[in-house]
Amino acid sequence: MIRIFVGVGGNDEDLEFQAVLHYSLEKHASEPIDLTWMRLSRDPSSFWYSDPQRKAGWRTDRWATPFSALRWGIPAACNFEGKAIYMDVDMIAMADIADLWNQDITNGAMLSKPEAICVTMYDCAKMKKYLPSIEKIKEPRQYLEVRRSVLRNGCVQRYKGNWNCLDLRRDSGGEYGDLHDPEIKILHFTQIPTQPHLRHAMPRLAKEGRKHWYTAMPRRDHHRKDALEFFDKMLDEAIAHGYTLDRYRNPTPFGDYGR
Amino acid sequence: MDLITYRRGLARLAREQKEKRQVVIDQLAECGDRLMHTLRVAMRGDGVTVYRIGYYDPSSKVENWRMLGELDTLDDALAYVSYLNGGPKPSGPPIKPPS
Repeated sequence: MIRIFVGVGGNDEDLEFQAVLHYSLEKHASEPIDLTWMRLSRDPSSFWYSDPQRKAGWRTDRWATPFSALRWGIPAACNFEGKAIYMDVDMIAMADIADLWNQDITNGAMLSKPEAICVTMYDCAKMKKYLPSIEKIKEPRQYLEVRRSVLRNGCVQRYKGNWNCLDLRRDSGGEYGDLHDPEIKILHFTQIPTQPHLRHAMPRLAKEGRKHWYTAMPRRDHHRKDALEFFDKMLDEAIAHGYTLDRYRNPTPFGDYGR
Repeated sequence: MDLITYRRGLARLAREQKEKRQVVIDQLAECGDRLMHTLRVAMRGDGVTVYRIGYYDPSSKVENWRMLGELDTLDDALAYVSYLNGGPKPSGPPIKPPS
């Protein structure tokens, strides 16, 4: 079983990408997947409990997103046993995630791209020695603190393959001409204002009387028309296969992030 | 759906649940599987029967009973349980998140 954890907002902001990511992972996977959506919860018994108004639980101050540092809680969420993959929600799997899952972590405790840790596979037991306590991780500003610490301590081993292709850029410079280039294992729409699902999510949220968590800059179209078309095609395909948006709604929306 | 139809549906589901669970238990026994997979027959709000598949993960601090998703037919659900036990990936529809 491939354990995957994905960080998402708590107020249904990114349902379209949840459907596309989930469907694309299942479509290509050659082994079963257990996917956990990590989102803040008001339930004190939840592992993801947060109450920003009372400054309790996960403290999202200074996080870029309402889920940035949840990734550091994954080894503890797995009781420091086995392996687990973290990924952002704004991604499309283009290859079999088992090809990442079955890579060995021989040097350090996590497989990732050190300059962009948006896709990471943890050896949860080995991570224990590199991470502060879960209570410490929940404190404000810990996202960057922990990131600096794990990078400094050399626990990151680079994976084989481009499992985090940032907006179609090549690691060696330049851009992929074909988004179906076999080097691209996961396509990551990392620049938030140009994320393709926002064209659908923002009008939907407006109809529901809600807003997206990202408000820093206005939305604009991605510079690659083929990427926009591909996202729309995948969204249609996902919905046609039963990966409908309502299946991803948070039954108890989080409400005010206090950010 | 009226109340009588609903109750009859629930009674049918209870019978099916028992029968299908036995099928799964037999299949797991054959595979010698150590994971505790479950297959539940459930009725959606619109009266349609679905087949939900989960497993027990004692290490999870999030939720020990892990719901993997659901399928529309028993054959698809059994094929997925076989996949969980190391069988080939089913060629039918992919497992969907629970409704």
